[in-house]
Amino acid sequence: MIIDKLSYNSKLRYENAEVKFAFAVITLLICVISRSAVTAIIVLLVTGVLTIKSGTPVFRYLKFLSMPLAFLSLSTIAIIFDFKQFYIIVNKNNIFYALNLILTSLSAVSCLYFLAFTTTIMDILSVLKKLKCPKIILELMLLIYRFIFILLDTAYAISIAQNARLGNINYKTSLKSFGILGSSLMLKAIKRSQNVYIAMQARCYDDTINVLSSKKTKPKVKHIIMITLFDGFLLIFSIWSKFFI
Amino acid sequence: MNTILKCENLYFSYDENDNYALNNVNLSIKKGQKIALMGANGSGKSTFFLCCAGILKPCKGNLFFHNEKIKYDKKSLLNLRSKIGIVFQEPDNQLFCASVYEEISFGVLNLGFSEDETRLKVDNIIKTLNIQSFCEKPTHALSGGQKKQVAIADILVMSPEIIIFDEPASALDPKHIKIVREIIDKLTKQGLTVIMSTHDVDYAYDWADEIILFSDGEVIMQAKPIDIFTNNNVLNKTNLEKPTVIKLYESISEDKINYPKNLKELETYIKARLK
Repeated sequence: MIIDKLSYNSKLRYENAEVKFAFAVITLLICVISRSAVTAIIVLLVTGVLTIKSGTPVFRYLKFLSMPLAFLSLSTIAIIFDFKQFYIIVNKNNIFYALNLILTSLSAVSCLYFLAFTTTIMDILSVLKKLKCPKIILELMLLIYRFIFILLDTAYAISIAQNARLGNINYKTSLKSFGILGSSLMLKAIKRSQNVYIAMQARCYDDTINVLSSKKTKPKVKHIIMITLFDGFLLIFSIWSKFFI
Repeated sequence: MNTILKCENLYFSYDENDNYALNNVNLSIKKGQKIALMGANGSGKSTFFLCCAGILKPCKGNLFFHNEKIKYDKKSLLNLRSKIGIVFQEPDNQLFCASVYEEISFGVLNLGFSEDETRLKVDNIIKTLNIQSFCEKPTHALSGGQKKQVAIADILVMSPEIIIFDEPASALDPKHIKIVREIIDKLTKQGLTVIMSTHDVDYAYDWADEIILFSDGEVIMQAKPIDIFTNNNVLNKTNLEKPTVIKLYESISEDKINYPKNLKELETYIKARLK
């Protein structure tokens, strides 16, 4: 999966995960609460530059941004256009509101993209563990993450096998093959889960998944200061633009 | 050598009918031995391994570990599984964590070690098995051979007394087969009891102290490799071929006693004869 590959190859991968997490979440919160287009643009630019500088290709990043943008564009049509009796009204305020909404949402997404493209899932899970996220959720996330790849591999292998035997020769056969793939995948997943459980029991599994993450880098004071200054500036700017402009 | 594992009149069935996957199995394994389990697919080898680790409870019969009968309460089973480790045939059935480091730490933490002690053990095993180059990688990004090495590390880090390999060379390229065999050799030199299921007659003949032949859930024979591979009746019953060394030796020699152990010894014999 591309996001997974990008996070592992990121130049910021080995930076302290807690600092990255804090930056992403605090910036996201300020952005969403402020509802200011200017704040959103600043956040979008800063997180975008950071993500691209950390190793994510520009076109890849823009492609990822285009997905929520497409969704947002469709959703905000209902905000832009107003219907009164038999007239369709386009209001200047509505356009600005829609634009503001798109920019705020995109900047929030860009904060999460920053986190996703620079931090591996293991590091994210270890941060969530420190934040006292319920154990069951962490264990589920760990297992789901691992098994997504196994199921994708299995699905790919089944799909290749079907194609090799003309399983997608026409629409009707494709549908049938897809159904067989789905059911086969489910059976394999159940069998796999049984085998994994046996292997876990063989290693003294006691109903709790306890694992250790590899050693973490200590947070750099320089980064903490920069993040504090940036988020502090954002907060002050948001308050100033809300109440004094 | 003391007996480390013994089973008496062991029966196991998956479906509670009279279809026994293990059918009156009687065998004993001494401490420090290298045992190869051989037999056709479905002959009961993997089922036997799962019974040894207490994962499956036999319908009838007894299993003894260090001459003590295996009990099936939770504490006894956890204790047993800390001493008997299984490296499964399919590494994807064993590796469930996101990263290699997490994966290896799982078993050790379950044994009750502290985080610091666990880190020490995990770092140690990574160094011993020389897997530093991919220990920070996610498990899904590993090759088949690397997954197998991690699966072995998972078990070794728990310092078991017996280590069971279920077809360790399955689906591996020659390079990784060599790496796995070197690891197994290291373990046997350390005095660990190693039990392995394999279809490689040449390797089993050279490596094993004893071979146990399974067929339809029964133990056909437990003996030294030379006694197994020169017994044509037993080989026919289990559809096993003779090792290359024995076939070559039998084609050039009338001697039925001093069989060479491997190709090197055969080479020495041939050179001696040519002189």
